[in-house]
Amino acid sequence: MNEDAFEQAVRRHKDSVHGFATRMLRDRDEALDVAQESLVRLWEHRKRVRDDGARAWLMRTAHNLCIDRIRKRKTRAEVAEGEAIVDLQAAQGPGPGRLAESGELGAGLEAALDRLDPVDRAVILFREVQGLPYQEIAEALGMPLGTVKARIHRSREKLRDALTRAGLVPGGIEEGA
Amino acid sequence: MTAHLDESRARAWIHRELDGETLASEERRRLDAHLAGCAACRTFRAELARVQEGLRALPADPFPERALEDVLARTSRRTLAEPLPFRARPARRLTRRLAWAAAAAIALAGVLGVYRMERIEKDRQAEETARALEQVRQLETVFKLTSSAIDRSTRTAVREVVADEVAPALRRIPVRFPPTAGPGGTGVGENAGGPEGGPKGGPEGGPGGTDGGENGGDAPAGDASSLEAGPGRRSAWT
Repeated sequence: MNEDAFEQAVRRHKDSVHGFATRMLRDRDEALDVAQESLVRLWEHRKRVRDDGARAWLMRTAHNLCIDRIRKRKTRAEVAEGEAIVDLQAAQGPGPGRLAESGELGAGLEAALDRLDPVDRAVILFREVQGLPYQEIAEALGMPLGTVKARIHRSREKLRDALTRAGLVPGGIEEGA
Repeated sequence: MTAHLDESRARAWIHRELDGETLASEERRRLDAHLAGCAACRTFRAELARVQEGLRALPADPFPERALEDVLARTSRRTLAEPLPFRARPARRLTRRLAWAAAAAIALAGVLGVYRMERIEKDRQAEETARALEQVRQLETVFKLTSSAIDRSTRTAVREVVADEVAPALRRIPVRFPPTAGPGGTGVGENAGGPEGGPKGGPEGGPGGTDGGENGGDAPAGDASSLEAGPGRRSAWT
């Protein structure tokens, strides 16, 4: 990947990387750090990255950085012996304007996403929010394709269950309802 | 005739539909037949579709423009103006090495300089010591020569003084010579001693030999002869 390809990749994928990090971490400052670090690392490793593999490479890097930060948070939370960090994360999610933009369903989905296992969350975000193909998700996460599909299907059903319990997806709706 | 599709497989195919897969025509027909008679699976598909729509409708979270500028400034644009951090490392390492080498060279120069100064100081001290010893030796020689000259001068002066005093005194002493039988022996003994007659008597002894034989060896031969009894004369003490 040369300098031009790098700049094109940055401009094309920067929002996806940042959006993914924001929903993974629920902290805008941390998400910005992760996104910037991922893009800078792409530059540092550009000679080993194919032009058509930039997005998968960026997503894998962002995912690994997010998982590292989530693990550190858990350690800090255990030390703090409290749930305050969960409240903090909820407070630092998408701003009020964006929640209003996405409506009740969106707010419910954001909350439901937070309760998913981080890897399940990453997989469903890659697939449904960022629109990555299964094969690219498998490459990004280093998982077999079948495992990726199974995780996505399971995550969808967990979100459906959460929204149903929250009354955001009334049970019994049918197509065209 | 389409075989009956169980709920589990029907839901898996619903996921495949939502994933964007195109079911084979046979699968399509069997799923439609199942959904037509299964309200739970119809609801399942409708709810999953709503979840999917909701996820896809989540607002984008654009990367801030200032953050993009920062990333580009730290990466591709940086190479145009200045080296990247990881490219700059060798230069920093080289600078550090040069600094260490310079410091080491300065330290070595300092040590060598001190050593050299000590050597020079030692050499200088040795030269000064040798020079001082030489001067002492020269002074000693001068002192000996001076001392000897003074000694000789003193003796000469004393001799002259004594001679000046004694010789006239001797002249005033009446010398009586016994009458001699020899021819020409008429008494001229009064001024027998010449003015140059030394006070120091020779081995023969003389009236002026106050020093006795102490300095007799120094006396000029002529001095002694002046006190000798010449032919026709007699010493006052004889």
